[in-house]
Amino acid sequence: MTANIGTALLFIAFVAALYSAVAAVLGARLRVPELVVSARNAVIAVAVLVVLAALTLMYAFVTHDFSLKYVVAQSTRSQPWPYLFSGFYGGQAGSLLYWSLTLALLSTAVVLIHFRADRQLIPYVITVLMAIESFILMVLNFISSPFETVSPVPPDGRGLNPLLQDPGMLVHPPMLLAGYVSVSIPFAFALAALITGQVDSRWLKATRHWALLAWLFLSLGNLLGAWWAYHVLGWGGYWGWDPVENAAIMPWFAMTAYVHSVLVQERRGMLKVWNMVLIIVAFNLAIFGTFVVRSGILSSVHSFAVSEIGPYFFGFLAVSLIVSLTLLLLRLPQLRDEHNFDSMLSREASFLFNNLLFVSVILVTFLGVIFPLLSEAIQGRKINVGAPFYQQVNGPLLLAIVALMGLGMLVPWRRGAMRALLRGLRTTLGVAVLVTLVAIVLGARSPWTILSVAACAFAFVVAMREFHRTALALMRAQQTVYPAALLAVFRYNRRRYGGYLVHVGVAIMGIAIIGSSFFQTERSVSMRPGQSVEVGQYTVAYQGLTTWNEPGKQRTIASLLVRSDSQSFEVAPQKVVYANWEEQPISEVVIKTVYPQLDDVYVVMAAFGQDGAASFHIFVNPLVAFLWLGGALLVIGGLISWWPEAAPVRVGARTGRLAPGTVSS
Amino acid sequence: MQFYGTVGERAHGPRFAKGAKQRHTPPRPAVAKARSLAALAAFALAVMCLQLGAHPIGAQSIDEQTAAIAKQLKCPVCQNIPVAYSQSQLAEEMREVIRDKVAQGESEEAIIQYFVDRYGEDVLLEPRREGFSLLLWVSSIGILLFGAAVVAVVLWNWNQSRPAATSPASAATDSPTPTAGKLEEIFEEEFARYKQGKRS
Repeated sequence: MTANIGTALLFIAFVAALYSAVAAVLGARLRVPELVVSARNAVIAVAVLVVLAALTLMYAFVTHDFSLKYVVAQSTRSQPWPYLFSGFYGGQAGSLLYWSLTLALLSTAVVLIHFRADRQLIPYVITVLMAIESFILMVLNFISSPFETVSPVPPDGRGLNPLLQDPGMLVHPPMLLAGYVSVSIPFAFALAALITGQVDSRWLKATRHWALLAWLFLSLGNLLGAWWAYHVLGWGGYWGWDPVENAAIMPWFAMTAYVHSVLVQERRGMLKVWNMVLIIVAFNLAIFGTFVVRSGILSSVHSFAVSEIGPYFFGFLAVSLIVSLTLLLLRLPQLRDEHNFDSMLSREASFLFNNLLFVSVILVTFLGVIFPLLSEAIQGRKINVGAPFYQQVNGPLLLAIVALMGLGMLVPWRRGAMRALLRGLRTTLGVAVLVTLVAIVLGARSPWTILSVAACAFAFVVAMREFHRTALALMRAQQTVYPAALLAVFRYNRRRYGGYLVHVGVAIMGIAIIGSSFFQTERSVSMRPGQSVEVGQYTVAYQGLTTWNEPGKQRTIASLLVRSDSQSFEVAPQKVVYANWEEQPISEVVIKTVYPQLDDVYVVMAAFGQDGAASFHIFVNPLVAFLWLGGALLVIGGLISWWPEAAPVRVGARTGRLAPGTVSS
Repeated sequence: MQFYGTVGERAHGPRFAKGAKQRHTPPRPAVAKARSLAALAAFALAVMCLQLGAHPIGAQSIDEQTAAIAKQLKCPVCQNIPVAYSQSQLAEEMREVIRDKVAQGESEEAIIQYFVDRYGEDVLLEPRREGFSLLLWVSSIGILLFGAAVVAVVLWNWNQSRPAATSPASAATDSPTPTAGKLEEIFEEEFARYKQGKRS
């Protein structure tokens, strides 16, 4: 019954999405406004239908309806209820349903907000968004349906992979997928601009908030993914340049380049082609990301060939690339820049270099991701491209990006005066050199470490200087005290100073990355109760094992005492065996952040024997706490930057209310 | 004398943790007033410290050698996790094999080759810089060179088009909206006044 309802809802949604895509473009071409209005209504109908389909699947999960294959694969009766929700998007069909749900809801928001304001663009925006939606719904209807039934109905399900039964998994996939999905909106506007030939900055202004929203979702998705990996995977790190991680970070790099590059077009009418290319690249990377995770292409070319959805996604990717690049080429003559570069020493020039660096990072990462496949296809031998490759190639590029981040904030638009720049550089570089010197005295030795510390310190100090200068001016202008002025900075120019706060966050994250990648100490040891081991400045003593039975799982808990000069504390890493997943015991990592050193003591129990002996991986990761602090600042800064300004004039005009305050302020 | 202290510190990499944390509070205005002379002296000192940093690595224990080798190998049943940290049974066994071989005095290259022979080149976390894999390194360098070439072309174009850029029309679009431009002006004025106030 549930299966029939769900299948019917998905099918009607598919038809409605197809209708909407066709009606919108016909309405615009034949100049029949009624058709465009009906396309808009169809968008809303698709959203309602997909929401109902998602609720149906949710209902099946909550009522343990094991007649559905998907519910069997993703849940058990004993699974705690929050993980029933992560079961929803834990598998292929469910995550695609979530994808289409997010796109349908965002598309509805788009038509409600932009239908009148962007009248010329909106029919094509609807067409693009609903074409994407139709594709996903087609896959859901005909290739990988969450409502597929199984017979006979099993008494209980297999359950979600225990690695995914973690709070991180409740929030990371929905955020990342929402990020992938929301890139579609600026992309749809960009294509609409190319189709209609209205390639001025209007589409950029219309999508400014959507692009930042996509960036925010992608940032959160990646940060939460790193946090989950750090707390769950047990290899002592948070970023392994794993193909799936690369697929998630590439759209983020593209969107980061894009949100910078559009500033140049808005302000100076330059870099128009770049912006189009960047958003096309970002969208296709987002599709690639969904497809990589879901098609199994990266484990092997062969698993791709047998995967059901792989070829369809590949086809979609090809069509989307060909269509968008063809449109771009056709409009190239109209995408002339309105101004030339005045000087290398200008904000716009630094944005251009920023674009180049980000595009290089994307290209290199992409090359690394597909190289194993190339090698397998050409040579017949698979070659693995692991973290060391990315660290060596991307590391210097990212370092240059951080340094440029600092420099970019110092140079003004159009043409920077050398003297003013030098004045800015003198103080900021001075502080950066001091910081670097302290780092050297405290143990930084390799040139890369020293350069990285210098770049992060420089970017941090420059951002702080900008806050400080503006706060001083505002303090005088508004006759307030300094702390109040510092807060007023964000009101003065939300977008810019939100962005600078993001820069502060990135610099702090940079320090965390330096600390944990250059100064990690680790030991892998086997111990009997009573033995101890030295790791860095910590002594870890193993005390013994206890075993604990819980419904659906068995825990084995080790007890260890960690001592340093100043303090001692106990840690209890565990090994958990879930029912149905006996072959995959899960290590529960213990991470204890030690203050004031800010070392993370990270303990994993690798294995244990019957005699009470156990082996451990023990890591001391300095400064990882800064990663989460910097990440939080990055998200807060992004939110400030995204937060809508006072109501724009056109909203006032539509509701018949004039908003004089917003014009004159 | 000061240098001896620095040398003593070097064994404790993680100590840097404390320093970096303390340095990362917002700079006070007084600090921001650092003169260029001080910066220059600091830089000279930094260069000296850099040279002190080049020191030989001492003999490694069996544990350390095992870890060093295990970090270069990919756990064959995991997604890109080194043998050194993988939780899988296979990785545990591979670590044992490495430890035995290290204890028997086999060289790092020989041990790695042993695993490549058994599991294929896929077992290496970092592709070799020879044969087909060399293509990966060469093309990523190619990407960087291409990027640099694009920058060069753009710079050359700027030099060509610079006279055209001084047209008065371009000034009009300097700010996104007139309102924002005005605020900017007010801000600059205020800031100039503030600076003057401080000098006088």
